[in-house]
Amino acid sequence: MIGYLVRRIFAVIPVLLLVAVAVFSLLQLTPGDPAQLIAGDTATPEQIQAIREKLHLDQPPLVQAMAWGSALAHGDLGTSLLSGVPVTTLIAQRIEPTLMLALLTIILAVCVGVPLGTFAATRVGSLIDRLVMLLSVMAFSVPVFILAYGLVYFISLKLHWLPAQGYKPLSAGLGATLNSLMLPAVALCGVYMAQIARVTRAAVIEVLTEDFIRTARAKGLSRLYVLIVHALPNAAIPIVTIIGFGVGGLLGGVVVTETVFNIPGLGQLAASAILQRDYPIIQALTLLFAVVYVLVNLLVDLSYGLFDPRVRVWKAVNR
Amino acid sequence: MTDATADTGRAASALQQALARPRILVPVLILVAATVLALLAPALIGNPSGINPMARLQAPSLANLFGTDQFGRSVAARTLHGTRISLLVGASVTVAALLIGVTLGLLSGFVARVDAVLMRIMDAIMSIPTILLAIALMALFGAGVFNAIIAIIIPEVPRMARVVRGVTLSIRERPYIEAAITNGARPLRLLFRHVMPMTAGPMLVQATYVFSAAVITEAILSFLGAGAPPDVPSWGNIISEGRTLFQIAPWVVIAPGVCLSILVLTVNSLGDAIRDQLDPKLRRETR
Repeated sequence: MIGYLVRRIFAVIPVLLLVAVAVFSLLQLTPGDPAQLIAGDTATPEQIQAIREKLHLDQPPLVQAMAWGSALAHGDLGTSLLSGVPVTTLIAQRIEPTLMLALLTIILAVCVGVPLGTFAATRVGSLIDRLVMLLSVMAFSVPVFILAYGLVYFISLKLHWLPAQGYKPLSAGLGATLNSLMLPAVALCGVYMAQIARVTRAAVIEVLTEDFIRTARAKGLSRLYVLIVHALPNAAIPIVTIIGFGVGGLLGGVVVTETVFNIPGLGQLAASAILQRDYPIIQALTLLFAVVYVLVNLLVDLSYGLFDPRVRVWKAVNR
Repeated sequence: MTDATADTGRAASALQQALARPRILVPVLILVAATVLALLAPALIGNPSGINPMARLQAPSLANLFGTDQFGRSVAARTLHGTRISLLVGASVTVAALLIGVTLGLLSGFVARVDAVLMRIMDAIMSIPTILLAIALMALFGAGVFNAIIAIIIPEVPRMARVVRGVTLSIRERPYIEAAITNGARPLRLLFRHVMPMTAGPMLVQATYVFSAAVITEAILSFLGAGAPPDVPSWGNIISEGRTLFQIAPWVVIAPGVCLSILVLTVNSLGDAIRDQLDPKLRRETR
């Protein structure tokens, strides 16, 4: 088991390095003068020169890469072009709402998606099964900001149940925070929940055809007991895999959701940085989100061993 | 030549069979209708930028089917013109992702040395959330429809290449490939004549997902102000302009929002239907 853990953890290092290289090369591979691009059409030559110096664009690419990499290794993600504030400071100020939103969304998506998928799997072809599948296709297709505006319109403006905008920090109490994040989390979890429900349904259907399920039923165990104790754990691997993969879409969705609901988190930071062409912020956030995604999927990979001892020796390649 | 005619015949009958299924026919008809409407938009409906200060923020009525925005512009005209952008972006990204992704996927599946390098790069690109990568690229390129297309192609290529590579890897081991090699088929003929046709199904299914992802990403980029410029109506920027007035004039957001959802739903259902048609065994699995 230890060997498996170590192997998996070491396998992530080259991926992380490549992600860093990819994020760094974005600036390099862009045709034209990146400083000019960032400064925009109306910039004076002095402004362009200032950006060039700030981002070390006046030096050879290898020197730039070394400087960037070494800064990165020291936890320095650069400074905002506009405000001059270190990006790490900006991230620290805005990480709480994003973290809370992401956690609430994951919990919501898993707690609704898994039972829904399991329920549909026990009644394949029934009206309820079709309804769940139809709902999941629809939830999968409605873009997050459309769902967000729909929710704001009905839940906030018509019914006045939940606030339409803003964020209450944890210091104002967990209840207030959850209250302010409920609508955004529901909007954000639509696609994610649909994916989880679909995969859960498929995985549980597959497991329910296994011999050991029939054996368990034959020895007199109840349907529910068999489903929860025998079927679900054996269907866990595809389910946790999609939970991990879905985090990618979730992190992208955060940018949109925070903009719609005016939540002062990392997503809103990214959205405002594009408009101000504050490239260092975008670069840092892209890297941060990619690293989070890779690490979440490492955790998922490691959890395979927990669910299925066979994996510790042989890792499932079939994704 | 006989090869080619046999192929066309087979393709035609497969198409005929597919279109006989309502699950495929209905989405195809919707897409055709949307394309025709988009192409005819300038002739069918007025100028999307025609400002009319007398008719600001009017609720939907017979004169203005979907109401008017804060400048008195017809939301219907703007939404219809937005269809052009969404379809253009969806189609361009899909075609480009197919061309690049299929080439890279075939290469990766056949040449182990290329595979090792290429797939690690693809992994790295896929580790960056699509929207964030597109945002980072747009921050560099600047707003614009063409730039948005490029910025969306880059994250979508690995998703296509992966699928094609996977199929290629399994096809490679089939006896008929060995037979073709024994018969002296050259590498390129082998790839394009014997392997590529087998990847067509999964490729087509993936293409529908790339299309819908591209449409959503463009709408999001435009919504954030990084996609289509303000003078080009796109569903994303219509919604973005309407959001400040959402409480008093929700119709500005509703029309493009509903259209966007319908288009994505249509393309996704088409993908699911094609997948089920090609391989009933896959019916229970997902993307």
